[in-house]
Amino acid sequence: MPQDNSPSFHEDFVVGKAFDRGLMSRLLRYALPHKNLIALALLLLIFVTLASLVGPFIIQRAIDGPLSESILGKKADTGAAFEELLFLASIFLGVSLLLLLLRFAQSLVMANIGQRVVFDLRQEIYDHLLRMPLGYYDRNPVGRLVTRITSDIEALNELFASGIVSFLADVMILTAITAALLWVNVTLALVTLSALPLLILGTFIFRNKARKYYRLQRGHLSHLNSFTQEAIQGMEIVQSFHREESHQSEHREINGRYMKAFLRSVMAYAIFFPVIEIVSTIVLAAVIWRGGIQLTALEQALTFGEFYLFWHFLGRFFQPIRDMADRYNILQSAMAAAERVFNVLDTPESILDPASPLPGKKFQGGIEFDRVWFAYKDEEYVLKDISFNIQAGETVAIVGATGSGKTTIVNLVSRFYDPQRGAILLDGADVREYGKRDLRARIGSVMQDVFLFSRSVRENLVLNASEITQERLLDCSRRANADGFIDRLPDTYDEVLSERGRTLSVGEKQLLVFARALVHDPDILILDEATAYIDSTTEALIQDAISKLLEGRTSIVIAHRLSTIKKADKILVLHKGELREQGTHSELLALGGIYHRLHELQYLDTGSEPKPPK
Amino acid sequence: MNSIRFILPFAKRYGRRYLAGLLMVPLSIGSLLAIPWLTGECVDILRLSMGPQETINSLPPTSRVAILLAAIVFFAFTRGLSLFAIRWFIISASRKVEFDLRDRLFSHLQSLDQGFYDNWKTGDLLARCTQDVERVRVLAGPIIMYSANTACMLLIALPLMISVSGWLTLLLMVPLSLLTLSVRKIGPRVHDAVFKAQETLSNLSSLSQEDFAGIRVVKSFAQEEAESERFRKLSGDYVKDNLVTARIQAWMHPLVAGVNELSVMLLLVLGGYYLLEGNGALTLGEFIKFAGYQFQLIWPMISIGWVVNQFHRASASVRRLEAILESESNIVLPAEPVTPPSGKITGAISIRNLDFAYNGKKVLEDISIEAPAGHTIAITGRTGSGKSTLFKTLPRILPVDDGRIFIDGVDINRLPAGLLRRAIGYVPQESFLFSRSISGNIGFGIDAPKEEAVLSAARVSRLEKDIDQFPRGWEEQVGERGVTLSGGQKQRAALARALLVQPAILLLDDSLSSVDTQTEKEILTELGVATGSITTLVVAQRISSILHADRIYVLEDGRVAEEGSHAELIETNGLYAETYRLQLLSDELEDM
Repeated sequence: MPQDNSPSFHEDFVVGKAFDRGLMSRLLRYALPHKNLIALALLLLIFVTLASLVGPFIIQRAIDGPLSESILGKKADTGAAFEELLFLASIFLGVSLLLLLLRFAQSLVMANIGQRVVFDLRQEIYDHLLRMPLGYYDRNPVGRLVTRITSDIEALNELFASGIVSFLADVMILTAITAALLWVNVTLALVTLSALPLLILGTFIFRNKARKYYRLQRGHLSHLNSFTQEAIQGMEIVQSFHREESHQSEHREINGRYMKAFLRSVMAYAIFFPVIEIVSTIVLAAVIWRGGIQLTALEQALTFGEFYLFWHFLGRFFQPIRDMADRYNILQSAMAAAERVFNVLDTPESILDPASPLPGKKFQGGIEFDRVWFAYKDEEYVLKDISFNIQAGETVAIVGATGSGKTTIVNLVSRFYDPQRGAILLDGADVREYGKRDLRARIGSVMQDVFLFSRSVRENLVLNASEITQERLLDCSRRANADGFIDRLPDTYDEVLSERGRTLSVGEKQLLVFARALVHDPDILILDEATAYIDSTTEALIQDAISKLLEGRTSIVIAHRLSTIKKADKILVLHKGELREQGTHSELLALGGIYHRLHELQYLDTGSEPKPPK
Repeated sequence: MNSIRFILPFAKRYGRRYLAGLLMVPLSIGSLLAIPWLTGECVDILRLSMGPQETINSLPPTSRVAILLAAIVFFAFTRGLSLFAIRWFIISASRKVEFDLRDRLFSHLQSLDQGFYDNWKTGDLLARCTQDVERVRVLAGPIIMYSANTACMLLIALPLMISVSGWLTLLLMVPLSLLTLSVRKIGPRVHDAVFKAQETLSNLSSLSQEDFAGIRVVKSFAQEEAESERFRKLSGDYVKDNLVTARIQAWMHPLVAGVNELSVMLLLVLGGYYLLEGNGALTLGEFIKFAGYQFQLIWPMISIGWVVNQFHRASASVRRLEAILESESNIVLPAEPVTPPSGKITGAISIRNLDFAYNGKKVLEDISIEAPAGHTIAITGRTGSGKSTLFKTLPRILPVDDGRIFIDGVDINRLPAGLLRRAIGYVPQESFLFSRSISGNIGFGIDAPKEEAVLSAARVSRLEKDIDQFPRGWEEQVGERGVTLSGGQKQRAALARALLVQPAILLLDDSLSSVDTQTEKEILTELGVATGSITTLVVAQRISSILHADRIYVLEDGRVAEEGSHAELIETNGLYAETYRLQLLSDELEDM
C-alpha cells in the first residue's frame, strides 16, 4: 500500500522561515569570540574582490595602450610596445599569484570560522543534554537528540562557513562589477545591466523550483532508503509471510516516485542552464551592436580595450547571482536548525544542585523516606505517602509487581527525580542538599537492563576513573565471578565489546556490571535483581556475586528471588504505589498478609507436587 | 571495463535516449564555439572599418555585423536547445538505469536466505543499495555526458585554435593539462579526507548515541564530565579533519581561476607579440576568438580529471554491487513440488534427527520432534541453545537437508514455497514491525485484509484497547515518528499479524516475553480457543506460559536434554523443574 502520508516523508518538506532576527542575533553571539577571524575574512574578501578586477583592466590597458596602434593595422614602435606589454603582463602575473594566495587564505579562514563557532556550540548542547534529567530522555528518542548534535550543527556550520561571509562577497563583487562597468561606459553598462533583473528573477524562480524538487526528491529518496532498510532488517518476516511480490511492487512504486521527482529536477536544470546561456549571449550580441556603433563613431566613445572589459565581465556576472540564491537556502535551513538547537538549550535543567552543597564525603548509609509522594506526570502518583527507614549497612529488599513503584523508589534515592512531596534523607540530610555528582558517585546502581559501552572491557569496568589500578580491576572481576569469561575473550580486558555488549550472554553482562559496581566501591548499592534464566551454572555465579556485592554496605534490592529476600534485613512490600507491609522475614510471616501468601505459594511449589496448569 | 560490461545491459534498454543525447553533443559544442568565432569576426569588421584603408565589400560594415550578430543569437538558441536535449536525454536515461538497477537489486535481496543476512550487516547492504547505486548512476549519466562533451570539445576546438596559431595552442595546452592533472590529484585526496572526517563524525554520533541511550549509567556513576571531555576530544578531531579537508579543497577554486589567468597572460604576451609583428599574423578578432576557445576548454579539461576519478569510484561500486548480485540463495526451490493429498496443509510436523550448522558451527544436533496437527508443543532452553534456529528452518528461511522435516508427511524441501510459507504464522523473538500504520502491520501477510479479520486478530492478541488510546487509532503510524510501541505492544501486534493469515502452523518464538503475565494469560486462553485446529510451536523462557503445552522439549547446546509434559518434567526434577521453582516468585509477584 502506498505510504504517501508517512511522517518521515513529510519531515523533509518542512520549509522554515528564512530569516528570524532573534535567532540570528543569538547565533551571531556565538561568532563574537571569533570576531578577529571574521574581520580577517572580511578584509580578505575586500582584497580578493578588488584584486579580481585588476586583471581585466590590465588587459584593457594593454589593448588600448601598446597594442592599439597595431590593432588598427598601423605601424608602431614594436620594441617599446612589446616592453610595455611585458611590463603589464608581469603585473598581471603578480596580481594573479597574489589572488591565488588570497583566495586560498580566504577559503581557509572561512572554514576555520565555521568550525570554531560550531565546535563551541556543539559542546554546549552536548553538556546541556548530559545535564538533562532522565525524564527528558524518556520523552525524546535518542535518534532525535543525536540529530541535534550532528545534522543541525552541520547546517549552522554551513551558515558560518559559507553563508554569511560569502553572501557579502557576492553582493560586493556584483556591486564592484556594476560600478566598474558604469565607470567605463554608461550606455553599454545599462545595456548589460538591463539583463540583470531578468537573470535575478529567472535564477530565483529556478532556485525555488529546484529546491522544491530537491526536497521532493530527498523525501522520496529517504522513503526509499528507509523502505529498503526495513525490508533488509525484516526480510525474515517478508519471506516467512511470503510477501516478496507485494513488497517488490511496493518498492517499485516508491522507486518510481523517486525517479519521477528526479526527472522533474533534471528538467528544471535542463531548462535553466540553456536559458541563462541564451540570455547572456543575447546580451553579448547587444553589447557588440551598441559597442560597435560607439567604436566606429567619430567621437570614439569606446575603445577596443573597454569593449573587452564588457565582454569579460558579462561572463562573470552570473555566478554571484546563482550563489546568492544558494545562500538563501543555507540561511533557511540554518534558521530551522538554530530553532531546534536553541529549543534544546532553552529546556531548563529541572534537577539543580543546591546553592551551597554539603561537602562531599563517604556516606554512612542511613536512608529515610519521609512521607514521599511522587508522580511522573500530573497527579498520577506512583508513590503515595511512602515512609521507611534503612539503617546504615542494612540490606533492604523491595517486593512488588511491575508498576508498583519499586524502580521509582531507587530513582529518587539517586535524585534522578525529585519527589513532589516529602523528603528523602541520606545520613540525616535531604538528598537535595548534596551535590548531585557527590551523591551519585557514592551510590552504585546495577540495573536489570544492563547497559554496556562499545568500548573495551576495561573501560566498561573503570569507566573514566583512570586512577583505578590493574590489580583492583582484576580483584573485583574475580570477586564478581566475571574473570572466568573475561579471560576467555580473545583480548581479555582489552576486548572491545560490540554495541551494547551484544556478543555477551545475558548472564555474562550481569556479571560484568557487578564487577563494575565493585570497582567503584559505592557506599550505597542499588540492585535490580534480574529474573531467573534457564542456566543453572550462571545462576550460581550470579547468586554468589550478589552476596559479595551486598557485603558491608547499605543496599536496596529490587528482589525477584526468595533466597535474596530471606537474607534481607528488612522487606518492603509495595502494592500500587503504597507501602503495604514492612519488616523482617519472620515479622511479615507472622503478619499474615501479602508476603505471607507469597511465601506459602512458594513453599507449596518447592515440593515435588506439580502445580496444576493455569 | 568490467564496470562498462556491468552497466551495458541496463543502458541498452534506453539506447535511443542515449543515442539522441549523444548526437546532440557536436551541435551543442559547435554552436558554443561559433559564438567566440562570430564575436571575433565582428571585432575584425569593426576594426577594419575604423582602419585607414577601406576594404572593398558589397555590404557596409554595419550590415555585416548585424548579420553576424543575428547568427550569434541563432547559435545561442541552437546551443541552448541542444544543451537541453543532451541533459534531458542522457541524465533521464541514467535515472531509468538507476531505477532498473535498484529494482533488480531489491528483487535479488528478497531471494536470498537468512544465512546471507546473518553474514552481512544491514548498514553495509544499505550503503550498497544507496551510495553504490548512485555512483553507478553517475557512470551511466554524467560520466558519459561529460566524456562525450570533452572529446567533442577537444576535437573541434583544437583544430580551430591551431588554425589561428599552432604555437599559441601548444603553449596554452600546458596550463590546461595542469588543470586536469591537479583535479586528478586533488580529487582523491579530497575524497579520502572527507571519508576520514565522516568516520570521525560517525564516531562522534555513536558516542552521543551511546551516552544518551546509557544516560542512566552515565549519571549513576557521575560520568558526565568525563564523557563531556571525551566528546570534546572527538569533536576537536572532527574539527581538525574538516580543516584538513578544507585545506585541500581550498586549493581547488583558486587553482582553476589561477590557470585561467595564467592562460590569459600567456595569450596576452604571445598574442600581443604576434599583433605587434604587424604582418597580419594575428588580428584582434582572432585574439578574441582564441581567448573564447580557451575559456570554453577550461571546464572540459577539469572534467577529464573528474571523469577519471568518478570512473574509478564507479568501478569499485560495481564490484560491491556484484558481490550482492552474485550471491546465491541456499534455499533451492523444488524442481517438482509435491502438494499434500488434501491440497492444503493441515499442520502435522515431524522433525527427524535434524542437524544444523551455521558457518561450520553445530547449532542443532539430532533433534526429533513430533507435533501432530492441532497440538501445542513447547520448547525451552537457555539463550543460544538453538531454539530460534529450529524455528527458522520450518518456513525454510534457513536451509535444511532433505529428509529431515516433514509437514503432512511431505518433506518441506519439496513443498511449494508459497504453500508452505502461507501455512505458517511466524512470530519471531524480536517482533519486527514495519513503519506503516498499525492496521497495515497487522494486515501485512495478505492482500487487502478485511477489516473484521484485522479486528478479530487484534482482539485475540489483546491489542484492541491499546489501539483505542492511540491518537489516530488503527491508522497510527508505528516507528520513531508515530507512536513508539512498548515491547509488549509490539509483540502483540506481531502475534495479530501471524494470526491474520489463518495459519495451519503457528510459531511463537518467545513472543510474549514482554507482555505482562495477566495479559499473557488472557491471550493464551483466547489462543486456545482461536487456535483449536492450529499446530502451535511455542518457545518460552517463562515456564508459566508453556506449562499447558501437550509436550515440552528442553534444549541444551542444540540437543534435546529433557522432554515430556509439565508434570513429567517436574517429576524428573532436572533443569526444567529447577528453573520453574526459581521463576515462581517473580510470577507470583506479578499476580499480586
